[in-house]
Amino acid sequence: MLFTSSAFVAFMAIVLILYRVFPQRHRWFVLLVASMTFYGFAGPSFLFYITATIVCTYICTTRIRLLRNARDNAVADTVDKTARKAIRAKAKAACKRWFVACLLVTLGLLAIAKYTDFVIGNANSLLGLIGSGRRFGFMHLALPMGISFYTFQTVGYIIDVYREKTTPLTNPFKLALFVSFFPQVIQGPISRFDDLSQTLYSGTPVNRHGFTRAAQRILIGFFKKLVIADRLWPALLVLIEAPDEFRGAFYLFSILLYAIILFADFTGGLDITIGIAEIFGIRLAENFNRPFYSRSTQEYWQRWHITMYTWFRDYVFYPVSVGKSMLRFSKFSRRFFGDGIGKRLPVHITLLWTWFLTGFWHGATWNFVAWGLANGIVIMVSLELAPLYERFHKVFPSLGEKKFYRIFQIFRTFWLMNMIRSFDIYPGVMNAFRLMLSVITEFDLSGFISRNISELTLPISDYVSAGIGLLVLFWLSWLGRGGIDFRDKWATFAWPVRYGVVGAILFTVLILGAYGHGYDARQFIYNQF
Amino acid sequence: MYMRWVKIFSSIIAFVLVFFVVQRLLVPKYATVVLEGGLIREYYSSNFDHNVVFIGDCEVYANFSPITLWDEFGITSFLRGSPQQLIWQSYYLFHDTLRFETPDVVVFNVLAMQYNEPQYEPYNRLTLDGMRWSRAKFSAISASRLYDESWLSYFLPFFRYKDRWRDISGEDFRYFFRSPRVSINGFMIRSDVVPAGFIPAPLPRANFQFGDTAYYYLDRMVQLAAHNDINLVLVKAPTLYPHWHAQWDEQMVDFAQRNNLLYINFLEYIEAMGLDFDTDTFNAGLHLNVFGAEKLARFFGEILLEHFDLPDRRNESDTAAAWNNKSELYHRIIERQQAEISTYGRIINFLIN
Repeated sequence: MLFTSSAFVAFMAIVLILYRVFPQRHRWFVLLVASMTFYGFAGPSFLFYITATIVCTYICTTRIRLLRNARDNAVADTVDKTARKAIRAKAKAACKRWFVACLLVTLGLLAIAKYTDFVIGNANSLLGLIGSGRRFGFMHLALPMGISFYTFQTVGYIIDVYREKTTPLTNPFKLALFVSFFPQVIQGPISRFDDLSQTLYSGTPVNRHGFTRAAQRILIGFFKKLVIADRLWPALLVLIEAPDEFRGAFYLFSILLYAIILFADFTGGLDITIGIAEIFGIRLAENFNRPFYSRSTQEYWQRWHITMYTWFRDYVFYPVSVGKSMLRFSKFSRRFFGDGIGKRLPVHITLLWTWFLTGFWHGATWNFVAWGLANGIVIMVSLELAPLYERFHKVFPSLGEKKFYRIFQIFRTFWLMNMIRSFDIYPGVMNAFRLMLSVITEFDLSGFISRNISELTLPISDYVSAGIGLLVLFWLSWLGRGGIDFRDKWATFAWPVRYGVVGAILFTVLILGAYGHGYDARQFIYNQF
Repeated sequence: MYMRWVKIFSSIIAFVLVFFVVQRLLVPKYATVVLEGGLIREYYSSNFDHNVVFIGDCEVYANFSPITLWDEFGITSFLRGSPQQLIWQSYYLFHDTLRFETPDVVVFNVLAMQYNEPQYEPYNRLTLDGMRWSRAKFSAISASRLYDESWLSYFLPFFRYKDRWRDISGEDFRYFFRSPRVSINGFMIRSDVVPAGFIPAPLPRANFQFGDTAYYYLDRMVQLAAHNDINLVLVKAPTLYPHWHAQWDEQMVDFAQRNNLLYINFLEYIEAMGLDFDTDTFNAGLHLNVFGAEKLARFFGEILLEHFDLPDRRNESDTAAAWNNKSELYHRIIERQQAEISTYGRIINFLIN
């Protein structure tokens, strides 16, 4: 059920009525039923995966909780220090077994659903390389909706429980709601239990003010998705489906289009997600903070898909960095390479490993692995060059404050990230490299101008409507500078202006939106992950 | 509190107002292209006093001249035809007609029997958008809807035509408050000539049997006519293409016999009517032009009088006055079209005004 479908509007209306009718303490249950129904619409068979994840997580975290209770009781009853230590160690080992088992099952389900054919494909390639005629058949398993998102959210919960940062839930249905909460199950954000649980079960009544604010956010989401992303998508398809024809300047145009589409699609989807949650008084983490204003790759990743970035940082990068194996390697590295490189090498390896996993999480293709590694390498290189930058800025101390230099940094980061995203859109890693190279070898600006992009891809009117959409986005971005919610700014307008703005945006969506007859309703891009 | 309600109500009123203004602007006016889209709605501005009502597809609205039927026989008639009008749409238009009048004769053109299921959304719209809301329209939409057609877009055509913002032109403003008139009693006047030359070979078919759904609605049409004491006549208009197969004709002959209906395949009377496909068609034999339509009406008028007790209404002063005005307009339009053809080589203005 697409967020942009009339079926979803009807679904939301029913959920809202039920939510209002039920007593506050049971409202979370309405959300659970709604979430499971929503998930069932994607494919009843997919319910197996998510239910297995929920059941396994509940059993394991409950076992961990019971083991810890038993440990605490035993420790309280034991006077001998050594015996206490032994009790703790035994409990820790038992908890670890349940923790590892839980990770194996939840990540195993993700691996089976998402990576089986990838492994088979690579195994077949290897067999071909060694001259074997044997081939494994592909499984063609359908990818359950949002499996990467809910699995990572669940894994975060399991780790937090294991680390004793979070008290495990005793009610399995509440856990089920945390895993499957319908607005976010499609494309995140990847919530942390401690954050989400503060509002998820409270059954906050729907009020007019909250509803109005949520509706404004949802409206902006629809605007981004329908007026910009879905309007421009057919143009991008034409360009990326013929990479041999559209190279050089066309390639730059393609990656620019993709940046706009991906931003509008993903942030639009998140606006709808967060807005829907807000209707129920549930606060979800923000996932974007004006990423295209970033002045470096590191900054970009602190502003784009924030919850994914912080998930990998907290649950992969940090644990790996301080893990026993990496500490051992660090000692070896310093001894072998000296304090300079030796100190930085473990960081870089961890960084690349984290980005490898980030890429792999996005998709079961080498393209995504290359995309992840490219991000890691760019960050690694910029870390390596940091002393050089420092020396440069010492020579030109005021340059960093200059507006044109800041614009240059933003421009540079924007295009660098666009280039890296080539791995995401063009099939074949080498293909992406060839296209990057074509900017130098066959730029051909005159060819780009003379072929008239509006005739090749979309009529000029579609570019105009998407252009109007972009102007509105810039306006919203300008309103939101300094981390202010655009709705707070809107609230300061006189009511006729405020209502006029909302009405104008609503009519823009209704008229210029790519929906209805003649359009194929398109799922959100991040849904495929 | 009071101010809050003022804000809410004024916003809702403003939204609804703007919505309907925009909708009216975006909905096609059918003034210069696809004029056929304006045919169905024109029935509702007639006086609902017709002895004969024709129902069917394009073989109806282009082929029978109601003015000739009036001028020569004093028969009042209206054509409720639209492009690729499917049989269930015709059936529900028959129903719809009965809300306003009970004609003596209903003539149904049987070419639509070839379709057993919904075909093409734009054609659905050309028929259904023009219908007034009634149970008949609901049923017609239900029977015609394709998988990508939403009910909402029929209630609020904005959602179907929103992308016309690209094509908004002067005519959308010119006909904002009133719709252009495209026919005289449902008849589209075309006095240009494109002779029939090459006629494509009939499409190969594995099965010539008309479908169950088509027969179901034809049966219902027979029942509806009988129930309302209306004479139902089945006809096949004399057009060269799409091909009317002998196997189809046999089925219609058989059906008419079984139901005691009059069935006329005008293809068999081309010579008797004096139709000449070098001069009497405006698109190479697919449809008759006004001169062909007049010949057909003359021929059919005789048959109608022979079989049914239709009054000559030229003696009714009010009716005669109204129809004579129509006739005058009809001939004026033909003269205007002829003048345009001799000046520009083609018809410039297809509207009736």
